[in-house]
Amino acid sequence: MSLPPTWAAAVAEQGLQVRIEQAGPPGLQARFDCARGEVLAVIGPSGGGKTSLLRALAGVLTPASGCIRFDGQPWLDTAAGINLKPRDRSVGWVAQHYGLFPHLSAEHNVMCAMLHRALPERRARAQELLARLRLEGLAKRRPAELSGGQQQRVAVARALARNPRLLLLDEPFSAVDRATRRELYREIQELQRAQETTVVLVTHDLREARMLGSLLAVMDQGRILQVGARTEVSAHPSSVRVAEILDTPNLFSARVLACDLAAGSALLQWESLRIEARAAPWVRPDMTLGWTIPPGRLRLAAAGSNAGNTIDCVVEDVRPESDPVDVRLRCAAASDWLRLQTPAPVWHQEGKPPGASVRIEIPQDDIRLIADTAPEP
Amino acid sequence: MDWTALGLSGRLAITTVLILLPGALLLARWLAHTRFRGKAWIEGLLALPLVLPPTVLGYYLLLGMGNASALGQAFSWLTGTPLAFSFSGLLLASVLVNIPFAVQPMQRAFEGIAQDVLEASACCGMTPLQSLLRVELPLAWPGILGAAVMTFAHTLGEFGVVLMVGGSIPGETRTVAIAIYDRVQAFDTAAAGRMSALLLAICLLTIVVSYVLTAHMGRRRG
Repeated sequence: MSLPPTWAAAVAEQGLQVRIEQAGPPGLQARFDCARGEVLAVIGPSGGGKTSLLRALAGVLTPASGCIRFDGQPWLDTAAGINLKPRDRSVGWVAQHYGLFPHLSAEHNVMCAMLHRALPERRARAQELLARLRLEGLAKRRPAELSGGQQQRVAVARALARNPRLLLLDEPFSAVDRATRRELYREIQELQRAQETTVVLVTHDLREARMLGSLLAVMDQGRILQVGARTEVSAHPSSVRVAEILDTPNLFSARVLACDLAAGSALLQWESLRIEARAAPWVRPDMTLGWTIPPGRLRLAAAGSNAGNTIDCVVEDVRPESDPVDVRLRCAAASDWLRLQTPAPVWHQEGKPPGASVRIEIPQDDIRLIADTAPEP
Repeated sequence: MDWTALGLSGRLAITTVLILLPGALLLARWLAHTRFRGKAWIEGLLALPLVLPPTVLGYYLLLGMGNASALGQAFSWLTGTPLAFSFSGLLLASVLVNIPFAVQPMQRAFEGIAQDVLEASACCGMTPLQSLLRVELPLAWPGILGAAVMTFAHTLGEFGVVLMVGGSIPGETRTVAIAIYDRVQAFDTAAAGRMSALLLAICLLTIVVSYVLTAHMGRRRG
């Protein structure tokens, strides 16, 4: 991610700065900055290196080369031979499988993270955290006597016990019920506001990533493909792979037949159809690229209309009860599917039942072109 | 019943456990957590007493402890007594022979501790010593208990190595296993039978107690 120089300087002083690389296994390549108090949501497929990234930040995995700084303090600098131990990094970590100490009660699990404090202080803080995470009455239970969700909350309480400057969460909400999840979301957001704790959250859940993360990082095969502001990454994926991971709707592959950069237009071959789009500066003739259009930007065209990019489709599936109405369309001349979202009154007036033919307009101004491969970070 | 031999066996077994266990524990933990080239050779070397005939083992130990050896000479110079055919020599042989019985159960126990639990202890701010005392030892405890019991019971029953290194000197190297053999050689089957039954009962009781304790700890942990 390229940052404005002033922000980059601010991050170097107050926040997390990561530049790490390792050929593997596990392969790891990550370059990003995260200002203090930000929540960076890391999203990607299983085995994509997300947990390895967290382990490197925590200090239990030492990458082959690179540096990690927090608030200007080097935690890792392989060139200078600096590698702080996990206990010296002010990190709270909630592991994917919780990592609770099975022989200790919930209370003692939390107390174990505060061995530098006096015993009464430890106990009081542990009880306070357990109460905040709705675990009163369960303090004396061992992990095996708790449900998955309760174990996760104990792990979160333990991670918070040391008032960490960096909180690492590895899919922390995967096994909890909706009410607890909401509670944990609130807890994380409160912590972030109150203590300016920087949070790196690994998740499979796009909705969760978009809700909690102010920054979004997309990771695949050990490499961070794109990182930036949540809205920026969602709206402008840097490559087709990023768009796939972000589950971008209406994502298709096409070949550039011709482009006129001066006029800002490109002609694409999408299966047997030709589509006109606004050309991005990096577009060249004959290149393969991805194109996408938000479902809400597709329009129902009048039958027989030939204006702009109009294609024939068949209605496959309609969810008429939602507003906007969600419609799944099969392209008559291409093997792909299109997703259309249109306001309920429009669909009820102009829409067709499943199996019927419709003509769809793809406004060229709303088409976004996406590079086939991610640029080097 | 040769109570002197029984007492000597008990003393040898307890002393072997006390001397061997701390070092074996650290060795087992190191082997469990460390990967390096040639590890299989070290593990193989440590496991040799399990597969070597006791007479072969005893022969090499006797060579290593004899008056012609550097160790034997150093011991003799320090104490004025020979190492071979003494209780000290027997104890040294017992410690070496029991290394796999002590190391292997503890190594398996340390290997059985989940990686994320170990990493969590580091991220909780624990020093390696705090992690060992508060997390690893309590979790590896069944393996440690198993190692102690196996070492104790195996020492009580060891015969071949004891005979080769210690012979059968009453009050010095004659253990209960050797005493049983002596009684059989002397056609005193009644005494051999009594001592065999007692040895069997002690070994069985020791192992059952260790199983009960391990099961109890497992229930407490869930």
